[in-house]
Amino acid sequence: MIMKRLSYIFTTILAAVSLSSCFNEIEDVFPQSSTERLTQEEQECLDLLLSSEQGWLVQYYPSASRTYGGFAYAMKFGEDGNVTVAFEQASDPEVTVTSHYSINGSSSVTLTFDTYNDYIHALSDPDFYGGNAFEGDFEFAFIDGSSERIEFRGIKTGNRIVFIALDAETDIISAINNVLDMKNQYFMSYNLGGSIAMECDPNGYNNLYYTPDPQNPYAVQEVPFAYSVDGLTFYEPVPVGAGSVQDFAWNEEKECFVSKEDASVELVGERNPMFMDYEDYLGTYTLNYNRNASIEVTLTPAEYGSTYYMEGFFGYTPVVSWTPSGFLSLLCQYLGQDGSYYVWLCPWDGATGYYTWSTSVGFNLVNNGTDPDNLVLTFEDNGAWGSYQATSILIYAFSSQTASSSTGLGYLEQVPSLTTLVKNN
Amino acid sequence: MILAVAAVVSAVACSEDKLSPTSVIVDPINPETDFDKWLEENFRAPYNIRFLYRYEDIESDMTYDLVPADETCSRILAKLIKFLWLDPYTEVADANFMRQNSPRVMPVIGSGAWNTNGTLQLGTAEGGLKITFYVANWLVTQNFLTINYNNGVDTTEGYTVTINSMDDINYYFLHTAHHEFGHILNQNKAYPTDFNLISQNEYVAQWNSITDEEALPRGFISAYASSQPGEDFVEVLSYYITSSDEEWNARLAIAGNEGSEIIERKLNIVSNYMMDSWNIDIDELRSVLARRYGEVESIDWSDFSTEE
Repeated sequence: MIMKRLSYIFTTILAAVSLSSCFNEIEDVFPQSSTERLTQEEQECLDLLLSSEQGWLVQYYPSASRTYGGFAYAMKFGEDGNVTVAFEQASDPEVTVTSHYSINGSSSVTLTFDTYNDYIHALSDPDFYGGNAFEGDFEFAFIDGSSERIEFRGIKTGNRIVFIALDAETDIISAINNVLDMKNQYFMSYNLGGSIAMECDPNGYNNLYYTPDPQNPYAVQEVPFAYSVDGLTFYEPVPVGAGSVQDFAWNEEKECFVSKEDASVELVGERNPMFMDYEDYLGTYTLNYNRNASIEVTLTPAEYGSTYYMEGFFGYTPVVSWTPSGFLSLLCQYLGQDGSYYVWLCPWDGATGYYTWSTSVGFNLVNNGTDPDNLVLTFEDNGAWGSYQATSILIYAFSSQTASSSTGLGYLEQVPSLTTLVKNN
Repeated sequence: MILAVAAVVSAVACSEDKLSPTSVIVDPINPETDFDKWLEENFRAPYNIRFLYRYEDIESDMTYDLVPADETCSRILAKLIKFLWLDPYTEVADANFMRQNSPRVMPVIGSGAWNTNGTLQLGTAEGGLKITFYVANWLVTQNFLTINYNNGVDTTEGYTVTINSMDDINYYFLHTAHHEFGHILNQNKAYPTDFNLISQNEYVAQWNSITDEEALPRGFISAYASSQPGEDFVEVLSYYITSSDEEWNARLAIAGNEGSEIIERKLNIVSNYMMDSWNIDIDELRSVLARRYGEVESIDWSDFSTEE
């Protein structure tokens, strides 16, 4: 009933306006209609997105609490309505994912990633992890921007989302590789401005923790941040001395992040005390085993920055992994086919005689120090084999690539009591 | 009243007024693809259905956390919906039936709409105008089907589809389409209230705590049918037309003599309603669907060419 009356009144007003419109020109407040104005703003947003030839580095924070920190995407927008995306968390940073975007206006101009993209929607998908664990957004309200930088806000989270233009030499894959260079410094903690101790997130999220007030050690302040192509950015500025800092660039010489607001403020990371660079492990070693026996092996790059080939290992080439924690990792692995044999490197417990084809079991090759010229790596069981101890290795033949007790044929080589790898100079 | 006012307004509009050549509704800044053209030709033009495979906030339920549908999943779903829902009705009813009664919008959502009690909303029909499909991405992520890319990596050179579980596809999408469409038909022409009396005192609020096997002997074709008469009606309709003889008889066998007798009485009312109100023989519809289920493999999944 009320609705009916309202619509009647509304119709009458409408009629009155229409009737009078012929006689009196009504002055518009804006030169264009509201639809045209919205469309103009939509067009402005689109033009900005298309203006960067290589695309944008996007610093995005899921969850209104920002407790998962920021995630970096690199996005290239096309005139055909497609967006191609690279992602900091991709299992392979060289792989991009393409989907649709649209720009629509209802209450505000909104950029929507409106068909599924494995990278973008991973942080908002309720079918994952037993619910929408990261509480993310894929609809971004346009705030303002320039050809250098565009700012959006997440519709659900209200979080600021910053798009930074990539320079002409940096495509989206290089941008994400740059981000990974910033990320993969393997710091465990930081010191900001020489006075503020910050801990890294134990789950590996881009979030730092510190206590601003030493009198109140339980009042922990979170500092969510996101990586950029040349450094990192705090979500909010952090007060240091009389000023505050937010944006940092990596300084290769000083091996720390330097504030872009105040070059005297540094964010200095601490690594594991036994940390050694990937490159420092490359070289030729004497592998000592079985009391006095030894062979010469060489570590050469496999996947550069993360794994090595151990060449010369009894005619086989096992893969060894680098870690940032002062040791390399040699795990049980399939080595390849040798005639009709499927050959595995099997950790072997010399005391009980048991061997295993479980690929989590193996050795940590632990540094004696951090001097690459006087390097001795000691074989230690990695603790993944329950009550058994990996002390030795069997090169073992199976009748199938799938190792099992029924496919096991016998050992091709015994390498008992592994002790050290001593680097030759 | 409103009509009269409108007439007056038109009568006095100035004679020299011309229609502005530029529409106030400017095309959104979102270019058309081959799929958009195919949807225009197969959904929008013949039936006035907008198949919204690109996520639109205003068409989506804000109370759920949802994500958009993967485009390839949407393309496959559109083919399935056309082949096993639109075309069968058009085959048995007159050409105008779907045009007049189909929903105007069909939003497609990639994820599930999870309720706080852990149940999943599979679809909704609102006001006879909209049927929303959820879980479109499950076609691939839950392995209901496998997409075989001709070039081994992506859709650019076409693809074929291997159906792994027609039962799941039926349950999550086609059963949902027929179920929700049943609601729309009921919203346009009410079914006889006799139906409500059959299981009058048997409906339960906690339908999700019972299984189909428990519901059947009580005269309900599914657990959800036991929630309320309106749901019961469209569950009988959709299960009947989307089930083979064996599947339907297997349900009746679980229902036992007493349960089957109740379900048959309900089916009889449903069948008469469809004939009397819509001139549709549901047995004919059912045999058309059965034939089409057998022909699903023949769909050309990656052909989205249009007449123009």
